[in-house]
Amino acid sequence: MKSRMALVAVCASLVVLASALPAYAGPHKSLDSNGRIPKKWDLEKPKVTRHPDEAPTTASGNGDGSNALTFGAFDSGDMVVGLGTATGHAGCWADSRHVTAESSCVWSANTTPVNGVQLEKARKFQSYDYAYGLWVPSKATYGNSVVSYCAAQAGEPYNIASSKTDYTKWYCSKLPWVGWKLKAAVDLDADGGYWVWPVDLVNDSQTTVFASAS
Amino acid sequence: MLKGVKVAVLGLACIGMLASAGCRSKGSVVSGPTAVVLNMAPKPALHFVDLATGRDVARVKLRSCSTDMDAGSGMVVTAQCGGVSTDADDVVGVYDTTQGGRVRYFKSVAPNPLDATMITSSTALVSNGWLDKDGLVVALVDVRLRKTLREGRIPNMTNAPVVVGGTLWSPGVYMDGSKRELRRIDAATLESVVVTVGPESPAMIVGDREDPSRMFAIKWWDRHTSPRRVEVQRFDGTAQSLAVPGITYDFADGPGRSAMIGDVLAVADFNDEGAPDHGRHLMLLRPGISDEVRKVSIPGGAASICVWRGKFLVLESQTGRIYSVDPESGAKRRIGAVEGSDRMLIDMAVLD
Repeated sequence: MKSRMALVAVCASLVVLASALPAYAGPHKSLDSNGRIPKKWDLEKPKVTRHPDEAPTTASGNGDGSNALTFGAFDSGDMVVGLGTATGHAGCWADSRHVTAESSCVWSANTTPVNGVQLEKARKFQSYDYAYGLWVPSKATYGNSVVSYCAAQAGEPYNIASSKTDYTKWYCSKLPWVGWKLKAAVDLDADGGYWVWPVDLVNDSQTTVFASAS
Repeated sequence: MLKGVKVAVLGLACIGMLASAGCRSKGSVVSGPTAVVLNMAPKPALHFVDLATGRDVARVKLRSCSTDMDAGSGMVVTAQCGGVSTDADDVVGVYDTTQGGRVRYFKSVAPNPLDATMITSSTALVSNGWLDKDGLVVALVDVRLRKTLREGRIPNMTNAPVVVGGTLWSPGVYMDGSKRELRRIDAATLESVVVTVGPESPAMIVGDREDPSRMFAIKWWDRHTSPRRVEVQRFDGTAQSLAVPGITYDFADGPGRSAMIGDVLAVADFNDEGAPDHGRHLMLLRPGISDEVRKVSIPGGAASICVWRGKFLVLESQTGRIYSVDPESGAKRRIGAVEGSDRMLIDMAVLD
């Protein structure tokens, strides 16, 4: 009788817990039963492009491109990357904040003249010539921790010259890179230079493209 | 004699030209009901589509990337977040259609202005992606004087607040993702109170700009299912209560842009989500009154929906066409289009 009551109590707790959690709590993407990446979430990466390991003098990213990137398969911790400008742009996806493309659900860092870690609209990443959704299949379960880390840096200042080990100043692609480095122990910088550019996140062998558009 | 007739005809023609020019004030880009469209490609710009002729009559350049726009009483307001790094921006754009000329700008109270929502004929709320411990930074601005009247914070806001009967409503999610909430925001003071918290709190609010008792709450939906089951509930903004049990509708993609006329709610089954089967319909619903669902085909996806003279105006994302949709019959009629083959349409509003 006691065990029956305990079972009822556990079930009731689970129901309460489930109703309290957001309906979108589960991930959109996962490995298959054999631990492989399903083909639909393993799209072809663009040809690797290299960049000089120096601070860019300009970004030339004035919303003058366009792409049809869709956001349906993004999970928390995934990275959204826009390319086609001098440096491109990147951010970390917070799926719990995502309602539509108009939602401010991307943690990133930006400047002009004083700025820093903030939320950006998903829509903004459609204003580049190319855009990609990246996930880290081998460490996907760390996504929520990475988002929490990025959110905890809100308001900290932008500095394109900051080193990758300076966790007090930020630029766009450095934010998710540090999040993944500290929370999931993965280094997603393909070329290992002083700077981690948005394209480095795309080029890295541990990231997989699950959404792309031009 | 013939010469006299010619002079008279020429004179009449001149008078006619002057009279037609007089219909517009000096420099005005609009002369009647006009749809204003925010377009990001090939360069950021506002398009003005004359709703009487259907023609794209003017295009006004914006200085940087904008992610939202609203219009009313001859004024257009834009949130200019710009691009990245040296190309980021932090201004509010104001365009007075009665004066014409260029868009004028003033500095936003915080970086990264994302949304602009007209509240009255001269004030707007500008919401920023910049936040501090008290929430996301917002500002009440005077669009005619181009200055900030008041600065505030809205915690947990995910999308731009909606104006219903002069009050602002903002669905939100706690920063750690643990809970949802709905806030009511005083449009004058920008102070907010939590109305609901927990699973009942909606993802989206749709309301009548003038009547606070007419609102719909669109609940969070499970993005893993197909079709997507979406619950819509009437919400009385005056009583702050859910009026009747919610009704569940099947969406192929998910709720996107929305608007309402009377008891009819129009929701785009298209939200740029990249679902396996895009809806690409406008759903006409009467939650709490009828279970009937009218589907109006919008093959290129609805980029924006607004209300004009008792009809829904729908901007088609892929084609730039503007359709008028009757809320009762669902009858669709093309009434205009945004010109240009390269376009990325963000938003539409009507100046009447």
